[in-house]
Amino acid sequence: MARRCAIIGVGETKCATHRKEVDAPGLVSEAVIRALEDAEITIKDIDAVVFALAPDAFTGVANGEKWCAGAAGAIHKPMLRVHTGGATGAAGAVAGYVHVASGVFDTVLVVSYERIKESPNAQYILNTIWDPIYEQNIELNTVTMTAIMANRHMQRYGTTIEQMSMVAVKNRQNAAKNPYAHLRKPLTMEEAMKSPILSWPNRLCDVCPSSDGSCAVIIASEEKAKKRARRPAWINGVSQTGETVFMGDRMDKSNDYCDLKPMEIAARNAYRMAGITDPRREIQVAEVYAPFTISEIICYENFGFCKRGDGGKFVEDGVSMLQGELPVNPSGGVLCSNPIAASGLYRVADAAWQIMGKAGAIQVPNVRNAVASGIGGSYQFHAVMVLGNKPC
Amino acid sequence: VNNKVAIVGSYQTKYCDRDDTKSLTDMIFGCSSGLLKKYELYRDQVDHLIIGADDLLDGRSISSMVTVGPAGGHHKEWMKVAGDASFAFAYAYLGIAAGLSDLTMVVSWSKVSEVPYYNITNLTYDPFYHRPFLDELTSKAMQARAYVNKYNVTDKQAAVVTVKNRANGNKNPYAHLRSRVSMKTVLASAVLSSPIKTLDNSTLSEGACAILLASEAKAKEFEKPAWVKGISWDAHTYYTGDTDMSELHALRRAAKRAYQMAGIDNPAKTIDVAEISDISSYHELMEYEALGFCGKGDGGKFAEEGHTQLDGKLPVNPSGGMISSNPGCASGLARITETYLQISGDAGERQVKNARTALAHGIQGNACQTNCVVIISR
Repeated sequence: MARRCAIIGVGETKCATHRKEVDAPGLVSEAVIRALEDAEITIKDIDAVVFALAPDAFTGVANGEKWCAGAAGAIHKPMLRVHTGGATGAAGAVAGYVHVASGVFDTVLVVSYERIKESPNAQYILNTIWDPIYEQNIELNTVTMTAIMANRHMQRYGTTIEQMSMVAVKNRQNAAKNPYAHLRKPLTMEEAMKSPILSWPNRLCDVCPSSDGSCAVIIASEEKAKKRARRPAWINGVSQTGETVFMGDRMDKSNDYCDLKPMEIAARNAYRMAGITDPRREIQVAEVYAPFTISEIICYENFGFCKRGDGGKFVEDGVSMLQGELPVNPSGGVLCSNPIAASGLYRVADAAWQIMGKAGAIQVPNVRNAVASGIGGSYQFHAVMVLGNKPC
Repeated sequence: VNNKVAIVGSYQTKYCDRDDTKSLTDMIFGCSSGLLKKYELYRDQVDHLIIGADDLLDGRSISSMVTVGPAGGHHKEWMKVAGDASFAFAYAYLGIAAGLSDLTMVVSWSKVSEVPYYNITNLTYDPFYHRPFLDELTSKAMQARAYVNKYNVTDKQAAVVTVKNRANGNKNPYAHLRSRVSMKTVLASAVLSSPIKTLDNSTLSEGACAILLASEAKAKEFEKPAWVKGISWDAHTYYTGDTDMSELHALRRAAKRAYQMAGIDNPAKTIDVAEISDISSYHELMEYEALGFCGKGDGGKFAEEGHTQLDGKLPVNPSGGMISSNPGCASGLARITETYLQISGDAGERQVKNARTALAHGIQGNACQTNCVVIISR
């Protein structure tokens, strides 16, 4: 049986296009200091550090965790780095949980950062994630890859451009209330519908920005958590699943490219661990990794908030609005701030704040269970964490 | 620790210069499926997959996109731990200790002939202060120089390590460099970055390696479990100017914690065999000291007196070490694999007699910035 553990502190930096005034270690130290302050502990209380860091090419320094080890307070401590593409941040939280649940460490710091503006063009680098012979030449990047998926979802389930626009409008409304979000200017439905096309059906409003940002989360054992935090966010379920890279191989009777089966498996695994059988009723808020409007719609389906194919209708009915029955991405989500490697950890951090009652203007009332996630690779890696106000 | 953890299986390919018959994915699939076949397992019986890899060494960003499939991660719980796979092993250990997995597979590989290795290690340094002059080679040469100057270690003492490791490699059918070398050849080899000469340096190899880890209940189903008694890892400062380069501080701390966990007071006496990351022959000497096999500054003498030879009182690197085979990120896992073979009595011609407790050590980062120590026992 795994040891019970909980999130006792969270630190986020404000996401922005470029944080020119700090270097990577400077950015990391901001988040780490805030998390320590939030948990009311010092770096001496930290037993180990998990560094969640994705492609080295974004920051222009290989193994950036080595450079930032001092800023993360990891010197003289066990530190390891996890890297699962865009899922990295959420995977880091999972890894932090595993560290404490094992009984080897009592208090663990998970930290992540992103400095996309240090690279000339994020999409150019994101093209190099594909096969150099078969795939790179067809101009695959995250926008075109998602466009294929969105087209498929529209064709298969009748999802509409209006529904996709609603996701964008909702998230931008939420981000306006979140002091850490990058895009904080509200978007009207009219503006969204006029948004210029990037790769059909993805328009500018369907796509996340690229941001600089750093996030840190502190995870502690049951004993320490009860001592340190008034309302710790208990980690009740975790999972991370993988899938083949080849998109053509993700099309068969049981799996469709636009269904993202391994996300459903990961959600199911994490729910099972947390004892959640009816997610639509038992979960009060979700912070899911959705860098595109269509990804959020697919998340609704895979997290069991609605039936397969009903994701479009789910947003149309207003269920996922901040005032809705099941608010999704009250922070504005990845669509409004995307420090790629750190985004998954921001999701976990925002979900933890909802449980801890520290979410400020975006606080959802009476949160008992929250779910957070990360997506990496070409929608191949899915990390999920279920948080609760009580240990399960 | 919640639960006991055992190594129950291992598999490795023969390490070589470059293998043109296999692509990166072929090599990985060959290794993970080789492990499953060897122990007559289906992929579904393994519940977690942990991979140890580095994007730049794999030649693409988010390399796990292409590697997770052949490694066995399709629709499975998995994690990638970046860098040396001894850290992936450590993470796999934590998962089983937490009770989240019963049977975990750790896989790592190297296709180093396809990438400019030293340029990549140079990119680890920040663009302004370190990058103009440092990479893996020059940073470790600075350490070796500081060590040599402080303790008057001779070229000859370091050469003893190379001669020993290459002689061990000669007995290891999986080793990359299998020819013996003489003291004279080592001393006459060209200087790469003083004091490190060509034959003092670790080689670069291709190949792959995999290990199976099991919970206490699951381990009973396997013939030869080797229990993880102690494990720890540690990070040191990145800035070379901020530290005394003549010592491996992070290794000393990791070893201390691992010994504590394993209840070992006198490592030189308790450890029967060690596989350590000899990134250069000088580093092997420094590691003897950091691991507490001998006192500070006594590494050279310890090697010269023959204690670490295959028939010595504490044989080190019976596989031939990284001087004989260095499969990049898989190197740490290859060290652990060799200790498992030694403990299981499956090490063939290079078998150390009565090996009951073994120590393995992996390094990640330039100037030995992070180190992982694993102690296993029958």
